[in-house]
Amino acid sequence: MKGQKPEINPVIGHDILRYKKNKFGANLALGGLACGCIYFMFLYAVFNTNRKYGEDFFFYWKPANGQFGGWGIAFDVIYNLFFLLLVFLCSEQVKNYNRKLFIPQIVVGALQFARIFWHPFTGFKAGIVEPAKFVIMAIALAASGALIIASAIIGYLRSKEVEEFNKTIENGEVDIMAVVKELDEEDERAAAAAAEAVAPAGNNEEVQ
Amino acid sequence: MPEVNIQHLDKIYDGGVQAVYDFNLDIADGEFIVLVGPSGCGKSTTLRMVAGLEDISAGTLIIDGKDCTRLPPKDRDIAMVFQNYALYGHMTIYENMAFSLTLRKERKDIIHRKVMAAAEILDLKTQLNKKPRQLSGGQRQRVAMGRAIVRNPKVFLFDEPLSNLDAKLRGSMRRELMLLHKKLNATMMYVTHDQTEALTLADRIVCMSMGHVQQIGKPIELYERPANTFVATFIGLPPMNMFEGTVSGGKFVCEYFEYPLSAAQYNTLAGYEGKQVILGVRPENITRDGHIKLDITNNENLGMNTLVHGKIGGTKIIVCKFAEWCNYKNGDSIEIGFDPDMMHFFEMPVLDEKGNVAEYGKAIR
Repeated sequence: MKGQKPEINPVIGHDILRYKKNKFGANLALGGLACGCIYFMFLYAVFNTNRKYGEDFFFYWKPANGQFGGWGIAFDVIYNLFFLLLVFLCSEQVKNYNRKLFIPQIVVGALQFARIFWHPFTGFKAGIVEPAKFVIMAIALAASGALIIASAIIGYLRSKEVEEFNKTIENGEVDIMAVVKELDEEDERAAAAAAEAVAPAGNNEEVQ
Repeated sequence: MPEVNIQHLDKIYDGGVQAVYDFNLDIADGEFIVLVGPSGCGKSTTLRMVAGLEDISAGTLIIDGKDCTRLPPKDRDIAMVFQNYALYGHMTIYENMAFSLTLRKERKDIIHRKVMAAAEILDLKTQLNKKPRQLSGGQRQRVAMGRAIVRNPKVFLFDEPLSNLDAKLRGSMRRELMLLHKKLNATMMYVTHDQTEALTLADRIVCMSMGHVQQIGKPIELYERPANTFVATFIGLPPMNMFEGTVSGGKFVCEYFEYPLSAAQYNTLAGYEGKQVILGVRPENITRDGHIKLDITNNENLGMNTLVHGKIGGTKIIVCKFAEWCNYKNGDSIEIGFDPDMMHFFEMPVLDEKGNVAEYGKAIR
């Protein structure tokens, strides 16, 4: 049917995975990382804006209201560095169908959701973070968390798939070259049948 | 119908330098053609014109009945393998081999099937996830061939593909190429300056010099019946020994010796009585039962045979190849003769005003 995607032989479909990296899963993680960057860019911009207006130059070391800023911000900076490194490593692992960092990736993803209720929310409550910026930060963190978790799940499922397929090859249950040859022969038969189908039509035209 | 039909191909560069003169060749389906010649003889230029990488100044190129003279390379349905492999370093072997098909937006499963089939042929299945830098030169060249195979082109073009490899690897790759040609039964054009490659691989050899085709024929024809002095000296290792002399009274007379001609040779040279001709004898056709004195200067044992270098008449340096282990010393003398069936006679070359060879001496038959 027109527009319908041709079906890929499942053995070939699985075998392709062995030679193609899981770029989709890895890119999801990198997307999560980019969203995380958007979040902390907005968060640190809040401090810069405050400093610009000279309200309290060192307010993030000495919180204005005891709730926002302080050593928590320093921790946030360090956590961001850890987050960048870990998510990048996770994306590389996912790309190579490795499940080693599956749980840390899920945890980091969940923490992104939790972070909405830390600096953005406390800052918003304290009136330091504008509502619009709070919304942007919350969306960025939620998107980051969702993408990282989705990447982890896709990476897990695909790595399982590849692992199981590799086992079938090792056990000799599947012979890729035999499947390739079989499909080639099928294609040849289909081409021959199509040629035969065209030939009588041509003859009919001649008769007419 | 021939798969490739090249008619009166010329290549003239912008500065007016002509690299190829009137190249004519019909290549049959499944034929392995080798273009051989020294550097600058126009063989690579010819191949690049067939590939579409060089404009054709004059002439016609027909591939499978379709005039490709002015077609861009992508529409010619050919694949080229280069000397430097031209692999993408950041891609895996699988991705390198699949690249051209990916560009064509072929289906993923079709690409995979083609890559796997090519990898099976070239024994690259275990290397598919590696990067080119992790492979040896021979393996890289096989990847380059694999990239050509997956496209299933009408014609394969090879531009000195083994020149970057060491001697041992070149030998094994040569055998692999022969097997590959048998497996694929594809039309192939191969450029090399290595006559061993040409003699072992080719169905037919095109020997070129100075932009001109000197001879087209089967390897054995070029070896046993060279068309002129260039082919005679270029094909064969060590090269043919050449002696300038005259035909006189049933003998070949030169500065260094006189050699009696057989009746058949004398008949062939009947029209050359008193004229200057060139006698060519391959080192392997020199025997040790003649009357020409050879003063030995060097003895090179190669294991299965020996190359003996020496001087005739004190000045003319020649080389002989004897099919056994010899232990001659510098200063030794031996008597040599020539295998009468393997003596080649040529006309004198035509020289231009500057004294350069304008036309090589033609074989006298």
